[in-house]
Amino acid sequence: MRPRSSLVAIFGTSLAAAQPAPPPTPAGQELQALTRVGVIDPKTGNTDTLKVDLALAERALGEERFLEASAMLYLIVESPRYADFADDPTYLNAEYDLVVALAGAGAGAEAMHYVERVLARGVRSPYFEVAHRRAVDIALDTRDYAGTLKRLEAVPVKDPLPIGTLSERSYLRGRGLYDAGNLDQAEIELAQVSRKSRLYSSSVYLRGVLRVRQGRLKDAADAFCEIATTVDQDKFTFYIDDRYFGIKDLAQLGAGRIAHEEGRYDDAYYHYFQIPDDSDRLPEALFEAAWSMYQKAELRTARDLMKDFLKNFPTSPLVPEATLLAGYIELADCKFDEARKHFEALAKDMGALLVAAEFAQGSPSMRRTLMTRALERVGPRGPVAAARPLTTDPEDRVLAMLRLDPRLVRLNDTLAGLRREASLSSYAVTAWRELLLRVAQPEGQVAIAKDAPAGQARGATELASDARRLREDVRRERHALLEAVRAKSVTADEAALRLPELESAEAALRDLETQARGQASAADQKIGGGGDPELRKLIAAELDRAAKLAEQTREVSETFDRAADELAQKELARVRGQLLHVVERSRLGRIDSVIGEKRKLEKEIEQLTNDTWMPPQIGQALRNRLIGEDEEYWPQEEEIWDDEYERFR
Amino acid sequence: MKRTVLLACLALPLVALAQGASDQQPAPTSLDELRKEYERIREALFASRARAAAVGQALYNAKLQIHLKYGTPRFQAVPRATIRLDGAAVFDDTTGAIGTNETVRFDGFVAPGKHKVTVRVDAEAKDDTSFTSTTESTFTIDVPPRRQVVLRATAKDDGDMGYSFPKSQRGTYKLHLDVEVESAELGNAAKK
Repeated sequence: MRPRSSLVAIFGTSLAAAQPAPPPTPAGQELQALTRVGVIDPKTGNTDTLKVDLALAERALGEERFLEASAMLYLIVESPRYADFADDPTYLNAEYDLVVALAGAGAGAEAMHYVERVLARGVRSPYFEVAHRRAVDIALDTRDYAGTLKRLEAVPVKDPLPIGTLSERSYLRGRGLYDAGNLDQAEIELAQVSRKSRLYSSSVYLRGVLRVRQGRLKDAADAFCEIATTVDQDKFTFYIDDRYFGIKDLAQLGAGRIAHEEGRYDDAYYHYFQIPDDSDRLPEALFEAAWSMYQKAELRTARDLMKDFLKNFPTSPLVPEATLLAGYIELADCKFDEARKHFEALAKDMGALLVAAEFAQGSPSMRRTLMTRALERVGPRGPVAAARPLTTDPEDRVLAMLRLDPRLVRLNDTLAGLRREASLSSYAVTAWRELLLRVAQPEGQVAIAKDAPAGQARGATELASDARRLREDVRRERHALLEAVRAKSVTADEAALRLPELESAEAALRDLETQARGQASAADQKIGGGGDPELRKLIAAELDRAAKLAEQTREVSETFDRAADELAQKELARVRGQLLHVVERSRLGRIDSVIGEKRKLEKEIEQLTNDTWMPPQIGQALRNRLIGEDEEYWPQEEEIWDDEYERFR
Repeated sequence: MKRTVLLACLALPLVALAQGASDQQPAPTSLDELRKEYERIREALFASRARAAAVGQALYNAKLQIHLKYGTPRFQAVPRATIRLDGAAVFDDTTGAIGTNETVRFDGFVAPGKHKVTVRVDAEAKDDTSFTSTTESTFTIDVPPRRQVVLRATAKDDGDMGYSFPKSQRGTYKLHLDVEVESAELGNAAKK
């Protein structure tokens, strides 16, 4: 044992007695076993090799090659080779980098283990606060606020926690209480978040939302205005990424909605007007601003806003409601003919959308296509650039109206990550199998061919992997076929012939994969023995675990499709209900416009009978006192001669 | 009525943000349970691969690095690219990454000796995505002990099918995969 280890052993005795050492991780156990059999020489580690190894790992981390980075970092923080350097800054850096690598790959629980290790070093450790922030990010990603907080609080820390750390814990506590419906306590916790915290604007916004839920609109407006009115260059405006601007836009919208609700339409208009042109929220802001102006009887402004909205956002899900509002604006302005035309066009338009929605409701394959496209469009913050842009086709407009449950969106994100992992799962199995052989044969080529069961197992794993790949190809072909039907490049009859073939092919491939995996597992049990028994046992357990995990990934697509389809059915029913409501309102609007037009004609007939009728422009000018009763009115268009501005040069 | 609309309006956009609160109508709890289950499997798979790579790095003394890029990304998109090492996928991408960046696709320690590498690239013409092509090549490489082998593969299609055929009823596919393999002394730093 080298001096530093002895010192650590002597001075660490009391601490170790108070705090039992955590059990070694699987990686730690494996690397210790490799050290025992002489594969890893613990004497070869020094500060120079540590720095070089860390540099290599950080390069992989910088390129987001999380797997390679994690493997290299395991070999630093778990290997007995660097056990004596556990207090070296480079080692601490590696420990934190491992948290980043694992969290980046979505291995949140594993990353939390290393967060705890970093935090246990105390507040004065250079990586304490950043590791804590990473843990909070993991909690926000996984929505496991209470679980993460519990783990963080369980780490004993002697010194007082920094304000930033306390703020982040308060935020997590507040989020957990908010989700549990305990709004009063949530507000108390969220109020503890410091102005200097990166989560300050989020916490203020959340306080605004919970006040709305409690019916405290004035207090809610104060919260939203606090965010909305903070200047971007203010010293307290501390943002990490563009999510800050999203929060700010939401706060403006929230303040606008409260002002609208309280009848302060000019204030509402002001807040909506603050939403920048590049914001995802601009369509909502335009629509709601037009609504406020309509309520305030500023019909000209409302009409202009509606025109802008319908011209710039023809694929927005708000178009049906906006067209309805456009009709009501004309109606309020006594332009009955225009209003009637709006309502008639809307009824016709809604008919096509209703047909599309009802068709999708009755067709499972169409529902699946719709949901797939809807999920493709949703990125972490708004529609993704790669998704096919929406058109004004009825199917696309129904698609735009689908509100995706955020839990389904998160599930879909997780599934995408899982699919990526699953596609590489066969390599994990193959790698552990080869390592098992290597334990028996430490030198030279690992020759699977020489070991008959290993060769069989590899062949079966390869077959299972091919079957899975083909199954995914079949799923893709089915999706492409349904898209072709939608685009009318393939007839529904042709698709009806092909679809059952694809379904049966998928079922056959699933059976083949099951058989192949069974054969691989059976062959793995017969792989020849040899080498260190404990190491062999560890690796055999890993091989077994990897094979079981690969098996578990097979059915996830099916379970996801079932969950998505259930939600698609509910959502399509909601969209259909909404469309029917719009149709109903447009009918009423049309009746109002006809009655209004009739009433207007009746009044004109009455005026003609009484000899008090005058042209509308003159009537308007008289009402506005622009001309006197003894004056003669010259219509404006006659004052501008046709050739006045033509060829004037 | 107006208040209900307000509450719904306020709550909906919030959930779109990473830190946003979830104020939707209660969804089936199975969605959350399903997500937790997926996350557990995903994490366990990743951790297993990472540990296998770490143990492999300690046990093996030969390293393999595979690069793959697509040479004509301006004309074709790559919906899927796969690299298999001895039959098992080590890189599987559906985001078109090989056409947009030149990051290393596989970097790890392997058993010294002969290995079978398979590269498969699915491409589709950008002018007309119904013109698709798949090229799959399998070849053997040797990774000697205490050496690092760098394999650089470039897939490309110099044809003009997607652009030319719809216009003139004539077109070509010129699919090919070029592979360059180079071996170098394994740096001491990369080994324990």
